[in-house]
Amino acid sequence: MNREIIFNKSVPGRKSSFLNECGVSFEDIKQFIPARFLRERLEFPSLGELDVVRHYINLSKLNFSVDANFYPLGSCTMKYNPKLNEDLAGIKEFGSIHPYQDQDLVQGALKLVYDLGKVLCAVTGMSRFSFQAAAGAQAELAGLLIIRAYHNLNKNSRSKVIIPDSAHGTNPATASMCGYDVVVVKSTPEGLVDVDELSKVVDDDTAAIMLTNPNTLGLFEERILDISDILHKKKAFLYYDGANFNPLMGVVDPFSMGFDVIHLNLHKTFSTPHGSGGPGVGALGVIDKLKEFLPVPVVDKKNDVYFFNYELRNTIGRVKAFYGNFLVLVKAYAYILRLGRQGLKRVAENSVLNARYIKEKLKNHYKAVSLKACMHEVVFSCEHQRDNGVSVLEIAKRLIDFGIHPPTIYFPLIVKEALMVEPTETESKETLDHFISAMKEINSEIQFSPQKFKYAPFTTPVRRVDETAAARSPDLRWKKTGG
Amino acid sequence: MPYILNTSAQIKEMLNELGLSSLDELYGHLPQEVRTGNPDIASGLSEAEVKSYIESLAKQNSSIENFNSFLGAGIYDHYIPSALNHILYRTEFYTPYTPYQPECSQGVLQAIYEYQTFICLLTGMDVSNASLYDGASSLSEAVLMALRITKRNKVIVSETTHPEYRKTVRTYLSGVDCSINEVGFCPDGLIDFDFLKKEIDEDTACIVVQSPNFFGLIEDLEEIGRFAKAKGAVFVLTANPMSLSILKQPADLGVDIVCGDGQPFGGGMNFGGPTFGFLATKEKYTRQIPGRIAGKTKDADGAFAFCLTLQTREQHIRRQRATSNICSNQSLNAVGAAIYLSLMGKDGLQNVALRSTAMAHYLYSKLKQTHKVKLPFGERFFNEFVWQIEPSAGILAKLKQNKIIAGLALDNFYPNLKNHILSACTEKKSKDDIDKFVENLINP
Repeated sequence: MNREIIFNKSVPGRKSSFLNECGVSFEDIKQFIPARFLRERLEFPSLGELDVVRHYINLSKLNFSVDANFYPLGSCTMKYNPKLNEDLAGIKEFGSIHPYQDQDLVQGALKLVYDLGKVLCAVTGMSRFSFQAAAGAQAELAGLLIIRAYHNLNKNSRSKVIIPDSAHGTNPATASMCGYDVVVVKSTPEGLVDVDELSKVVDDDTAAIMLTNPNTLGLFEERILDISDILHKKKAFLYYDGANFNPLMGVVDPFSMGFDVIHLNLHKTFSTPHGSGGPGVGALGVIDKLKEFLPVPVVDKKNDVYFFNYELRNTIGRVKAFYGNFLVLVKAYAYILRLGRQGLKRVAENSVLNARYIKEKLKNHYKAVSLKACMHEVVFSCEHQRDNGVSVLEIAKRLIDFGIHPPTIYFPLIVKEALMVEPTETESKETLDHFISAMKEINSEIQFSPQKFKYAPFTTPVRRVDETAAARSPDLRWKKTGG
Repeated sequence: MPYILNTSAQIKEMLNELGLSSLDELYGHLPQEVRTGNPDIASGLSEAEVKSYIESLAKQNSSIENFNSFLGAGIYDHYIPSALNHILYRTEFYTPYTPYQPECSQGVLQAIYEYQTFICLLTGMDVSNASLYDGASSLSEAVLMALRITKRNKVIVSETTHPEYRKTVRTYLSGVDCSINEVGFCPDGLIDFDFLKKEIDEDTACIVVQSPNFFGLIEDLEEIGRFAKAKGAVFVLTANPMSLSILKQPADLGVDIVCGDGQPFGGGMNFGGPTFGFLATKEKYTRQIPGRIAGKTKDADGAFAFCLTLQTREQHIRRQRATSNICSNQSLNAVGAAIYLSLMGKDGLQNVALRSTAMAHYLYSKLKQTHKVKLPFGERFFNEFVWQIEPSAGILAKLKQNKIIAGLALDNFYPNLKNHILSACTEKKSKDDIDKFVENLINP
């Protein structure tokens, strides 16, 4: 196929002509907008509809996707995205509504948002949700600003946020954006938060801890209630990074673990597609005493009429225009309705079962980072393989030849040569077995033909991509000369 | 059970391998006190039941297509070519994650690179990122960039920047040591230069301006750019990208960072989201850009290939010293924009912008002829403008009964602008639509 950049496919004079007769020229516009404000050139390509369709359809074929490939990317929860949800989000009365239409014309949308909030409160034990944030990181920002606002309001401002060394990068980055100093607390050799260490660093200047549970090693923080005590005794808050909520849904709720502010990635746990990197939703939930701090508006109900409530006493304001990624909410709500109470629990259980099965089958071949029972994901360290001359990066690249999207690698940062596998509940035993046998085969290849790994993958549209060169001499856009 | 493939026999077999006899035992090591699950929510429904229930909710909305609507104010009802969603709904674009592994993600990486090129060509800037969440958060990120670039702490924002964007900027900056000063507008609806001159000084990190501004008016950016340059402040512009297809490119007007919401480029109205934010700047600020960036490089055989690059700016590498906390962005929407712009081409896109402008000016002239309304501001506007009528609430309600949504009442956002209405046109509006609206206004 012709992978050429679309700008190089331009044929002067060709066009799609979606507006048959525009009937307006630049000359006509100059009576309102003086010429000095108007542009002279615009170097966009000239293409016909079929040119564009063929170009992008062919590009799409170069991607691995959940629909075509096993995609065990740890911490990303790449579960199957039910097609029903897409049909429902595509309904005209959801897609063709303007955010500033009168509220009597959008009662169905408001009800959906309201009811989704109620359902998530039931699942998490939180008192209220906001859906304004477009992704987990943006919810973290709003959540920490809520904590900050609460402390400030109580004339008790604090400067530190505690973050385990195994945390997602978004946690420290968010704390820093909110003006906090980040205090890193180490993990124990088993891979859990070092509670003794924690109790030493938590003080009256601690605003919060940001915690993922199960953590990024796939382990449940068994001493979560001790952690919660330590923080709450100092009037500090527990922020729950819900990226790993999938294995707990319907089994453990964040409120009972002591969390005060949480986010759920609806594009992970609640099955909405990742879209090659968004759109998602970071659903932000808080306990009762923080309800008045949420971003506005939130949806409320009075006499069976739903409305946008802008009157939260201590609101932090807004993190986004309008009301969030509404269409994503439609998909997540459909997913919850379809599964119901029992279904959500089955999701959680099977996500754990699938990960634990992989761990059991591979633990004699790859070093499991912890002897503890894992939850929905398992982290291996490919140290031994590295000693035999093959890095985890090269293992990942070779897996692509088996039709498998590589797991997350080099994360969490505290694990050498980390390989983080999250199979999700939607994958079958046959698929897991295929992955397991591929991993074993790779292991024997490392023994017998390690040099092969320098050149993998062999079956992809391009060979190993030189990422170092990309960063060293950035080429971030097409230019007319040299293309 | 929906969406779970393993049969009871397979589950049993797998549990056996683990030496367990029930799924419940998978949680055996958790403290009993936290095992509080079993939430009070309904049992699962069949696919048909879910569909019928959600459809019943949808029916309680009224699509904008049922109205002769002139709503804009940041979200615009442009025509979306059929081919766009046929491409975008390919699950090879729809269901992958961020393209961390370039060898099996070349399609989306190239699409993002093409998107970045479109944004650069449109704005005249050197470099664009792969998208941010929306217009409001992209503006906030642009301001944070300016604070890092200048190491100053005073932010000046024009009051004619979208009110929800200004509120978002305040929230984003609430943990940062800086001041935010708003500069008002003149009676003609354009930025108050005297006010601006007084505000701007050597501590000013950036001047933030929206143009076309919230009232639809085109600001004199060149003049503002001169002020910014004289004081060494970064000039941040937020703009409707559709307007840039016919307006002078921001890079030629002294703008340092241009951002905005990409919804007009093939995005649905979607009740306000998802849309996407764009951000582009000059080469010298590349390392201060937030979010993903795709770059072109070579593969082991020397063929061209793409990958995410300059990742040492980002949270997963740099952690608390990252340029932003953003991880997932709005990639699919940005890819949608690249497809839209490819389909439209230069002429197609400019026709949309020209026709939208012409229709808005036609409406303006028709309203002027009625002698019933006031047109408080100037005529140098793009696709929307402000008009005034008393009592606006009653008149808007009356029009709505006749299936006309005349626009957005501004008094919520600008208490001084009572009875002011902001109305927008896109290329979908016909003279007939406009005549009917004006006819209804004169003879309710």
